[in-house]
Amino acid sequence: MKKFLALVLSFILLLSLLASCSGKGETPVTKNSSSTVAAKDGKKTIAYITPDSRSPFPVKYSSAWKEECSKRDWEAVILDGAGDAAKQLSLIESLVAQKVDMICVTPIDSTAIGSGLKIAYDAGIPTMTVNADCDEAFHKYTIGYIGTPNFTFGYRSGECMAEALGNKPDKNIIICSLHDGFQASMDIVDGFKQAIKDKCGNVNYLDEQPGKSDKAISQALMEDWIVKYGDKIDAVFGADDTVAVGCINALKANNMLGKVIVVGAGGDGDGLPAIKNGEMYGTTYQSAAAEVSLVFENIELYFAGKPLQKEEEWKMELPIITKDNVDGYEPAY
Amino acid sequence: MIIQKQQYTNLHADLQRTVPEHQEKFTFRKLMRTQNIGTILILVLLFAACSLTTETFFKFNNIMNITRQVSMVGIMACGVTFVIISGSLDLSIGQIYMLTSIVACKLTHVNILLAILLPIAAGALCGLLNGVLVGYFRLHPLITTMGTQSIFLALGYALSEGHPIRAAENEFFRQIGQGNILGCIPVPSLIFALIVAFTWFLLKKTTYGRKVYLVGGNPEAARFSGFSFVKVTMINYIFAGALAGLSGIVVCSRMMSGVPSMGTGYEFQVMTAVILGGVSFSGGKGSIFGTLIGMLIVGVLNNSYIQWGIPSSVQYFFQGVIFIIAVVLDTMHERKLGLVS
Amino acid sequence: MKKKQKLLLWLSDNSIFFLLSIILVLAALVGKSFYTKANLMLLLKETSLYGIIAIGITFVLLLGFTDMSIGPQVSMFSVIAILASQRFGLASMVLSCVLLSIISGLLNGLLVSKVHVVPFITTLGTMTVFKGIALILAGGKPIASSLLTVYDIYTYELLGVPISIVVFLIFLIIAAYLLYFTKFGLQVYACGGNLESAKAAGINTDRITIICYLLSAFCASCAGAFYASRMGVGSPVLGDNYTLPVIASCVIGGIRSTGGKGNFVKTFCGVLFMQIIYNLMAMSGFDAYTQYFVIGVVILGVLFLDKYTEKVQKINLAQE
Repeated sequence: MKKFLALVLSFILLLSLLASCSGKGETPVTKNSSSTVAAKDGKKTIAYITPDSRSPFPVKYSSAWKEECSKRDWEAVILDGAGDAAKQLSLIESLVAQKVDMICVTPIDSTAIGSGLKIAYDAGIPTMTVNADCDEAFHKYTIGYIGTPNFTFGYRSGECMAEALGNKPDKNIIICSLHDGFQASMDIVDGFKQAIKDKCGNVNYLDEQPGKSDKAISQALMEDWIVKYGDKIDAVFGADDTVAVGCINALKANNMLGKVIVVGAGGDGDGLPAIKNGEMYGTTYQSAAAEVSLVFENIELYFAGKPLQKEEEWKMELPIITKDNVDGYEPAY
Repeated sequence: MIIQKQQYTNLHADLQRTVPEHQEKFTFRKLMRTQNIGTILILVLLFAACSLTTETFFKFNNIMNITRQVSMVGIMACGVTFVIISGSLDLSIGQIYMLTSIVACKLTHVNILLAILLPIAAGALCGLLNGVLVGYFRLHPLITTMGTQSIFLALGYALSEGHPIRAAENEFFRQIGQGNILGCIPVPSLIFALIVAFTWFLLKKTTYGRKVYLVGGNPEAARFSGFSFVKVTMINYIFAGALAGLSGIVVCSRMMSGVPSMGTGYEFQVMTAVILGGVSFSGGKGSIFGTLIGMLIVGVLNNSYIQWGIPSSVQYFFQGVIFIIAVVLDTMHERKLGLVS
Repeated sequence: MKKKQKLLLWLSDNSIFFLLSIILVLAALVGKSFYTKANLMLLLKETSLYGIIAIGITFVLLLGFTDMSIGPQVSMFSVIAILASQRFGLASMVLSCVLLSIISGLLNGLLVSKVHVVPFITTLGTMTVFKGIALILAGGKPIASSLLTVYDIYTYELLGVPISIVVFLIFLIIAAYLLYFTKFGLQVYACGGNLESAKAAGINTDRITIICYLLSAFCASCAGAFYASRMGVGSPVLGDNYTLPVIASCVIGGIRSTGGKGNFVKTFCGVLFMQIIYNLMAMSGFDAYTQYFVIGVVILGVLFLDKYTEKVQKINLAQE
């Protein structure tokens, strides 16, 4: 009984402590103010929240981030959302408590991140979405967005595929997507489908399954598809190069590479050699370093009180790579 | 004679056994009493359903595909079967698989022979850590292997620095994962078949195998007979780790690359196969044959999704329902036989 | 018993309090801004959400069973909450989740008690089923709520305290009351200690099992509704990685997985302990993989400490 009473009493104490703690937020940040609290040592702290650190692209992004920060003698704080949209919210709150100078985030979920952006806004810390944007409704809480939407990323690959198919309709295409239940993955596929619709007209999607960024899984899927659809397959889209190469391996083993057109996305160390060999038709190149460099250019502009670059001014493209231009590119990751 | 804990609470079944078991003719009744009959039935039903409703399932190359696809997880499952029969668990097996495949990829740049031998040793070492913690220190298996899972994941990343590691080109190494014997039987399937035969022999026909069952099923009797829980558990974990290492080599050869994001969730795939195979988590029950059936069910199921065009969001539901049905059937069957109180 | 032995005995039963005090001191030394109002508030909010899930699963753990399906249940309920908010409005979010949790709790409870399937295996199966249901209901990707006021539930503050903390503390007190002061609590401990003896003593173990799984589902549903309100989105993959850390928190707190030992204060401390570690790591800017390593080492370290103090306890008893 004593223990229980002690428990109840301590909770009441805790509650009253918390009640006394609550205070209103500070003045929200305006677009051109740089009135944030200076970081310790006078160094600016630029924080970045990654979506996930188990895939190569975010890893490349993070290391480019650290480089750009050290170039400017700023401090980089990189935290990992580990694929959990709720965790990204907690991390924003944590960064707000640490009073960093700028919070940049690649949202795992464009809607879920909204409440986090609002919290940072109310606390007076500027935020920016990079590589993937939040919903339109939350733009008022950020200073801007730099990056290409996954939709556009998929769209470029779709354009590449359309070109390979000669812009003709009625082809049979198989899509090997990334993950179940994640928005980024869906956006890439939606973008691809839109491009095909725009350029080719009506096509027939034989099937669509997640390859989970795993070559073994995508290879197994492709083997099954070959058994099921055989000669009917005209083309395969892999939502990233890893998945595309997994499909290529299966096609190679069944001597179908000459007939089937494969397009990937990303331009990584698997994809570029495959294009060189003629196994893959093309991919969309996404350079982490180029994007991060653009992001930091804009952060500098922000701190100098100047407006951010407009999208037309960005010197960053998503080039389509095919056999013609593959030699001019290093693997993105 | 294998000492088994037998609880015939079902007197009826007992009375029916008027003829000594080894003299009974092959009757339907005897078939119904076989362990694993529930899961064998499910496998047969699935197989039949797929073959009859699609034109492309029951083809030689499709069947070979299925055996190849299950071989990597299957090799691991054989090892984990030992661990689970002896009453423990291994949640870290997926990460050991990832770690050893990265090791293999890195070693192909040095020496092919090392690339085939060292990952197995690396896997065994990881298994040793598990074995020491769970066997020697008697920490709780579920939470302990959860902790080691985290550690192995961190090690895998440290080794690869987050980037995919690409294996060096080597024809012989390539054949391990991508070759075909006699032009049509995939090498991984053959390796899997050999491992199944080897582990089956170990478990059913050797003294060690009997120790494994005893330690899991009746720890008290095991102790009195002098069988060491510590030794058996440690050896089981090391063996499971070594087999995961072998799997890692095969997948590295197949993909010619390794990434730290591999192997996520594989521990659940392995456990699904082993559980479908009739292993009991209180220990002392199960078999390699059962694990093989379980693995085949998983393989056929995954193949059927494509054959039947089932969208990915429905697949989880489907798999979960089949799993529960299989497990319920198995449990009810055991209760009827009087093997469970 | 000598004073030293008494202390060691108390320590072995309550190692989590000891650990918690150490980590709190460490936080003061290492964490740059740990003891700030903002950070402590954040810490408590995180602990509350995890804690609500942990309260539910503690009941199941006390019985000596496990529930591997709580993570996917949280995802499933977050999706259900968003769907409900769109069709029936804000008030229905929590209510719909709570009502539907009866079904998931019954499923688990019945399979374990009446059909006698081993809990670990049962919940591995239901885990996949719930994840499947979440994906099907959500249409394969996270669904956002069209209701603008969806955030109101999570951001609501009672007398200045965030509602999630209030709800967590209320649940904690109710759960503790159930465990200490009711017959039900005694029966849970009895079942956890030895299921057979409890049955022989006339306790309806089936009913207790079902109730515990219902409680576990109930807590998961509340947490799911809160997450849905916090994000404004129902995510079918949200809880995938929550199951093991929650169970680990409870075990670290001192809930013996064989059942029969532990209480809610310990669960709370276990969850707090894990959250402080996550919080400190986020503040120190540890690399993601260093974090995985640290978590692994911490879990193993705590298990070792437990084992050591258990040995000491046994030696003490032997010396009596």
